[in-house]
Amino acid sequence: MGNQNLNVQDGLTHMLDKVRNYGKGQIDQFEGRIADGLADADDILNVCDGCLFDVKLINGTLIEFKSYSLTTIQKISTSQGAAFQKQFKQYLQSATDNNSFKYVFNLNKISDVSLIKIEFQKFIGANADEIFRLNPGLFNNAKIKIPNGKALKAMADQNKLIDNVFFDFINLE
Amino acid sequence: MINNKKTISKVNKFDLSDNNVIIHQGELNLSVLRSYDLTPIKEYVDIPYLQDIKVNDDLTVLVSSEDGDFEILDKNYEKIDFDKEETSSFTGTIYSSCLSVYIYDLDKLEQISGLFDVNDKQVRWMNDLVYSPMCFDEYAIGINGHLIRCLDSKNGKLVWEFDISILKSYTDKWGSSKSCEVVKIIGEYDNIVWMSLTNQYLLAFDKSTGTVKHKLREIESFKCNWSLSAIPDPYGMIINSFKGKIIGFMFEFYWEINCSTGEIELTDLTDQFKDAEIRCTRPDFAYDGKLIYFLQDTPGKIGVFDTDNKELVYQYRFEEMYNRELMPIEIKYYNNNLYVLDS
Repeated sequence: MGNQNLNVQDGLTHMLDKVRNYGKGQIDQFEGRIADGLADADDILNVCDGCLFDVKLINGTLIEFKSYSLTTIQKISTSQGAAFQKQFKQYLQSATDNNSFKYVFNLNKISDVSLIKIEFQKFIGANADEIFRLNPGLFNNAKIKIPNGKALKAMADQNKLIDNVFFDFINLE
Repeated sequence: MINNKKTISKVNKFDLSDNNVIIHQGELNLSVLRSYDLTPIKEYVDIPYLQDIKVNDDLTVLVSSEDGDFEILDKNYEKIDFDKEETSSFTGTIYSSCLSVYIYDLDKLEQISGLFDVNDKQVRWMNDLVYSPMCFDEYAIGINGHLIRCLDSKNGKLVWEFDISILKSYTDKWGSSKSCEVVKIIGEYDNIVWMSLTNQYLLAFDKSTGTVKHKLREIESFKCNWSLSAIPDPYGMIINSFKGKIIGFMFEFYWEINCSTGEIELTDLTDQFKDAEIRCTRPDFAYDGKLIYFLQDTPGKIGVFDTDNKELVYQYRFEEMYNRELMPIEIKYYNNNLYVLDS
């Protein structure tokens, strides 16, 4: 790795470690600009602007690797997480369903996936209308059953969103 | 040949009617545009953010807002007055002049669904038997957990149900074993309703009795090193009523399913598409009965596939705009024009 920034090296190590597990012929594309910035390092201020995904599988699934500490995760719903939020919205907008993209967090840094889901829930709850509008079909279907922004906010406010299958896209590996 | 005739920015939603394109742009503006040059012919500034835009057969435009009600516009795009207090909002596609409607309880996080009759301007019925039913004439079909249920569209009473949990579970993309779920109700042909499932099954029901007419999955002749020898994708399918076939297209595969016999014919286009450096990566393609217009998201392209000759006949590459790669997410076709929504 030519980039000496430790966060970049850590993020790339996490991604490469997981990508190794995919079978031959499973990977369709790597996002070309990922190595240029601090895209998936432990730095939510500098999520690669314009990057659409880290890895695209041959079946169309997009994967985003995040090697974040818990301290960093807790910033995603704050103003410091603006770049992360923008990228997350792009995923939501372009998704066919909640299995068509996947966030992979680093198990070596966080031990409990619910800690991550709580932070996503916080962000979604605070921006429910806007997030629902991005892709209503992603929420309003027979599997997830969230028909509008108000319902999305109510689920988040009642701490029920973290149990919804919608969060299947969040993984800890 | 595809030429970019016009670009309109900040479009959130769009749909097509006979001669017009209806767009929702920015926060509040709903516009009706002439389809051939996208010139505005009517604009609204008093309709709040729209969840969805649908156009039914007799050109009545139906619009939902996130506040829970919806508007019905007549052929001149004038609002029609009706009592909206009975329902919360509509949720789905318009079938047989019916809308799926619902009331959502924000405390219990539960909802009941029903049908709204567009002609009578009133709710026919509501209950908790199905979520967002789709109306097929006298029957309304929907899902409730692992149950596929068919209700009488006039009164909402249960006609038949089918438990999909009897079908085998499947391994998802990440290796987890999961019970199968309905992905999409594809549509109806000759009184048979077709739906796709997560475990790559395709089920066809007699809509009046619930009898399973076809249960399809495997395609023995289809060999691919990254996919099962089965129907390649549960989303990328539509019914061509004229041909009596399901038309399927996704990745580099084109398949036809004879709705009467259940026979599947798949064409593997891997070599052809590899040479052309294109794949279909969005399942909602447009189709004119002969040509399929499909999207590749990155790098952004439109592909045109001739279903008769089974060959790619044209491709269009989007240029970068606003210093970024365009990622097309939706395509519609009408009267020699393609309308593409970019992310």
